[in-house]
Amino acid sequence: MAVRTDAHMTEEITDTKSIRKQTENTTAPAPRLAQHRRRTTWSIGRIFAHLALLVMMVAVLFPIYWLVITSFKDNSEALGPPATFWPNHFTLHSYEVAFKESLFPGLINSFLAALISTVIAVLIGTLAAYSLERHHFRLRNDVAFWILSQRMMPPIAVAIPFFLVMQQLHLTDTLFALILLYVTFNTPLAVWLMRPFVRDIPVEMEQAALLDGYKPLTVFRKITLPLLKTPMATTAIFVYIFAWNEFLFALILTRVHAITLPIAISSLGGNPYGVEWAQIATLSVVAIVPVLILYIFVQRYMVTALTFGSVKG
Amino acid sequence: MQKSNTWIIFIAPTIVLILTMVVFPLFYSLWLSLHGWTILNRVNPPFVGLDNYARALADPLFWHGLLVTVIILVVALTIETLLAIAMAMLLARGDIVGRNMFRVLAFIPALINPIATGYTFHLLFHPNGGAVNALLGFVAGHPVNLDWIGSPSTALAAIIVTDIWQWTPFLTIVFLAARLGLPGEPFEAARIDRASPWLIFRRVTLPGLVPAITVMLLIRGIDIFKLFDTIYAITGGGPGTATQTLGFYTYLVGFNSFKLGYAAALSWVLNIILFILATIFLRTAGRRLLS
Repeated sequence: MAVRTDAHMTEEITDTKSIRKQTENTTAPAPRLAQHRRRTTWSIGRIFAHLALLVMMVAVLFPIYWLVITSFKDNSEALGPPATFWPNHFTLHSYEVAFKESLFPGLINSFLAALISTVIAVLIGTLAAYSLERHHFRLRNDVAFWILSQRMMPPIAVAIPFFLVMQQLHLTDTLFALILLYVTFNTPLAVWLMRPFVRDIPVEMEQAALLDGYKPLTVFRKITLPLLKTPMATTAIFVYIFAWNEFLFALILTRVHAITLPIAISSLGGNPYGVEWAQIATLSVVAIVPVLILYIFVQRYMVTALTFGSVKG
Repeated sequence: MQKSNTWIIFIAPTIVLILTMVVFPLFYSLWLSLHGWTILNRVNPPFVGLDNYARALADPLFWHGLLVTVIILVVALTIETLLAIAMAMLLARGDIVGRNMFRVLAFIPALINPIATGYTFHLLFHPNGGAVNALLGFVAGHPVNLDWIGSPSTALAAIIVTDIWQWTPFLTIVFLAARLGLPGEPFEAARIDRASPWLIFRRVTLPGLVPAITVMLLIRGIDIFKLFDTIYAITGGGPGTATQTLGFYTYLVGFNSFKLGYAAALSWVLNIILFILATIFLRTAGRRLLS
């Protein structure tokens, strides 16, 4: 049961609605008001805690802020000196140039590689999770750990032999090779994220259908799968984000045709004739914004996803 | 019954995938590490036995890479963990406004593109138009022109600061959740006994946080041995070799010098280190993972 923690354990601090509830309390009847007033006394400890919180939030947001404003500066201002904390000449020039020159094909490739690998990884990951949860076969725990341990592997160790194999098959600089690797490295994550969701589905309906003579595959398709739609979407978002952010494999396996967005960014950074920082910032913003949007949907599962479910969120 | 074999069909794709895409390449890499694969010897690389491993042990850059990795590991993890525990303690109060908002923000650094993060910090630490020098100059009252990325020790510091930025908020949330998940009675008892806050922290809170701290140290330790993207974007391993971690050096040997035999041997050393860390992790967190 312990892995199934995320959703329930953290509701207290996850649910943004509770902020709203607190503010509604201000207009609540008298007894509540009294309670509210007691809570707003500002002791030194409380003030200090809020100051620390404020500093931390500013520290988290500042680099992102800097990146965003740099993307709206012109290139000479981007690097200064002096450093400007708000663009002197607010311009969309970098976005125009990015759209014309540096954004493609990286953006499309990133999108395709992440999307296709996500669909495959989530499908086969869900099947594996279902198998691990529903069939208590011998070595089940060993297989589960073995699958999980793939995520701890250093990518460079696989990248070296994989590069040679792909070279011999004339598959370097293709999306196919990238997708294959992204599926491989994200399937363990998908298995691990899906397991607790599968466990939460009552097994009785499946058993009844099996007793009625339906084939296991049919039972899975008709009964289990529809119940797993939302968990699969959640898992898909994580897998998509990790594939979208991936850098090392793309760096080693792509040259021209299959370059992804992070590679487009890094090749701007390696420009020997001068680095165009405003361009880098613009592409980086393009790389970050979709992730921030997707993040909204999976926020409460973050701890599970980033710690293999080993820590309660 | 046919049911008993269905699980094989369901789990087969995952297992086949890992066998062909991870296990086979790893064996291939083991084979490579025993051969002198270079750009000139790529068709029939000669068998060299354990020469590549012996070469690693005699290679100052190998030891340097290991040292750099360990420095990042120790410094970054110490600061991140202490800072996160302190923040979690402050946020564990029941009367914090904006805790939910912090939770929303806290995951963002760990989730956004590490290459974008790397270049953002490169930009922040840039000697001319970087915000770090501007802010330092504002505090000091005179212009500061520190070349952060250009000098060895500060370049390493820039990498460490980036890692701290990425992971401290995340760790804070983990430790905060662990703190809020502790049972309340021991705290009540300690308060009735008029124990000092420090004593309560040491004797009640900290022991309760130890499982979460251990697991996070292991996960972050594994992460740091795999660290690549931010180093590539911030320093490219430089200046000189100052920020070349073991993983980064392996990449350079493999894909800048194309000595893939030697690089494979280096990557196997990395594998073994991570295997040990991962085994400890699975042992430690295993009970909870298996539920």
